Amino acid sequence: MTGESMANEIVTANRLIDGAVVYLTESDGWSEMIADASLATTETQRTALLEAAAHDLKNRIVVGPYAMTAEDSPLGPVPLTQRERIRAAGPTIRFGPQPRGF
Amino acid sequence: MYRYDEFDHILVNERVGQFRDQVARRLSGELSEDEFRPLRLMNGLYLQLHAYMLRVAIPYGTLSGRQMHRLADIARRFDRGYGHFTTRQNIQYNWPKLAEVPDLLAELASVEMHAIQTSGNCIRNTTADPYAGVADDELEDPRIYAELIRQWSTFHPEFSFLPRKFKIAVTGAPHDRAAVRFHDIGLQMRSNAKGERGFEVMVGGGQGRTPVIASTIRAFLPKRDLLSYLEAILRVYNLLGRRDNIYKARIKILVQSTGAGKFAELVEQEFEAIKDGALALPAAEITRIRAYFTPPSYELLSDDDAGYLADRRADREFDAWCRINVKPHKQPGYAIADISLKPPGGIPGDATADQMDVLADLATRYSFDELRVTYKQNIVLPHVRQSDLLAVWRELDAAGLATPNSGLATDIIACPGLDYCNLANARSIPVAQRISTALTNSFRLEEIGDLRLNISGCINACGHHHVAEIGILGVDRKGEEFYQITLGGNPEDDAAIGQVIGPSFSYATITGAVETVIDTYLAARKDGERFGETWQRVGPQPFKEALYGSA
Repeated sequence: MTGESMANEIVTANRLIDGAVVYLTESDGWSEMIADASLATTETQRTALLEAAAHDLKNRIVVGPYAMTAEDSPLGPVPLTQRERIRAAGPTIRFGPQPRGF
Repeated sequence: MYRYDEFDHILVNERVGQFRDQVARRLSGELSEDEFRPLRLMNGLYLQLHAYMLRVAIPYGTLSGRQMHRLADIARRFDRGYGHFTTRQNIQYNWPKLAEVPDLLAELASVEMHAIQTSGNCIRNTTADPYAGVADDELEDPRIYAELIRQWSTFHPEFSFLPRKFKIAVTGAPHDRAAVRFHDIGLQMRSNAKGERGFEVMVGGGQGRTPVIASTIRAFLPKRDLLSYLEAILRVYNLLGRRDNIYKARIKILVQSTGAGKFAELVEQEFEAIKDGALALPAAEITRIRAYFTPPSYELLSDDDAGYLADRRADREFDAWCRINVKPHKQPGYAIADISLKPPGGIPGDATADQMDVLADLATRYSFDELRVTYKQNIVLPHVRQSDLLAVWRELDAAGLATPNSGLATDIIACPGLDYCNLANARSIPVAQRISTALTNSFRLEEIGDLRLNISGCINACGHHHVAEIGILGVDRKGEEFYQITLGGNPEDDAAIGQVIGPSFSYATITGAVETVIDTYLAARKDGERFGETWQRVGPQPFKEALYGSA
């Protein structure tokens, strides 16, 4: 399948220490910003990303890594489902203590 | 209020130490995630969409001012300055860090609190009537029995790995305020022909993807037999409940497949064998536990304090809050104050740390240091002198806690939904916020009157949509959110499960659809009818026509 076209994918997980949503970056690190995510456009790239993620699962950096489809954009990868949009951006509501006057 | 004995203290502190060690071993790599997950779940720690979530038990929803202050401190130190009160009378923190959770649990333990058995396939926190001990229709305080159940079920070795989670609710009053028919076991105090008190035992109720109203398997169970009978039910379930299919593992499925009559026989057989054993409750033991729930030393007052009535006449906003949120107390001159966690456009059940401190202070000064959490995700000050209500209301109002909507259409139960939850298909909170804002701005909440409107973000039904008069269920359609409407549910007396009215609505159109349902109800209702009664009388047709046209 190498080289064949596939839906663009990025790899995401939760960080072990605090559960934060993170994305695997080009430099095999993890970022809280989906814009930093490394976008796989071939099966080879996707496999490489998942291997890097499995390594970091074993090394207790992340939990539950998986590949998800994303669209490329000038601002970086953009998720396609509501669930992944909310994972990327955080809750869609104002929560917790609000500034005065709100 | 019940105080932990030495056994409770030892158990809880040992568990904190044990979990501290487990977290350390997870972070050092000795434990894999697969090994660690069941251990963290046994301590109420989930991994949700954006972060870990810790669920803290509030036994039968009762807590002291000191405990509420500690919950506030924890929200500030370990979370983002707020917490979420749940339909099981618990509190959830949405942003704890794994490495800090052991310290958080130690803080909880210092005020006799913990997160034990708030997750996993065990007997969960037993819930009770939030007006326990103060309702004017009550036979006995149900917390005496909820506490006995807590002691029996905590770390019960035989019931730590049930086929599925197990929830028990108790009420001591003829009017059910604890939704006992929608629990795995519901207990409602009854009197028999001889005037003795015992329990009606209901089994196999629940919501989720298969909503079921519980079946009564014992019309009258003497108090002495309570724990033996519960043990017998759990044994039958533990043995025969399905473990091969998570969707068929709850006791409701077992009761349905065996039939309630046959299930009752199996329980009675087991009960016969153990009823005179170690679990029989001697009257002295009930008396010992009852002593922990001795009513506070009320002053001798009379109802309708002149100052209180004058205060109501002088301030329309205070009067509205009294009319809607203040409930009769069994002790003359005292009142039950419902504190709404549902401000217009707010997040149902959320309270900031500062608000928790205000509630704790008010409890200490005006309510014999006691608070309750309700399954409707609100707070109760259970013993306020009528003459103190104005002072209490002013402080609540300054803290954004004086919304006069107890039981009204904006008193919405909503699950965390897709904004937080890993299982959700759609958001619940912003839908609740939009409906709450629209109904508040319509200035007809009191005209609409008491109405149960609940929202779940998936079929697990944590937002109790099945038992709402207007229920909303979020569904996923190709990655987009849609919302189904069910009508006619009822969680309490005359329990009923709502009926799906038709095709679902988009996120953009669901608020308007709910307003259409309410308009249809207002046009059809006769004097004094609440929504469920109109629904029973007119049926689905007018609602279908209003929502989808007559084609």
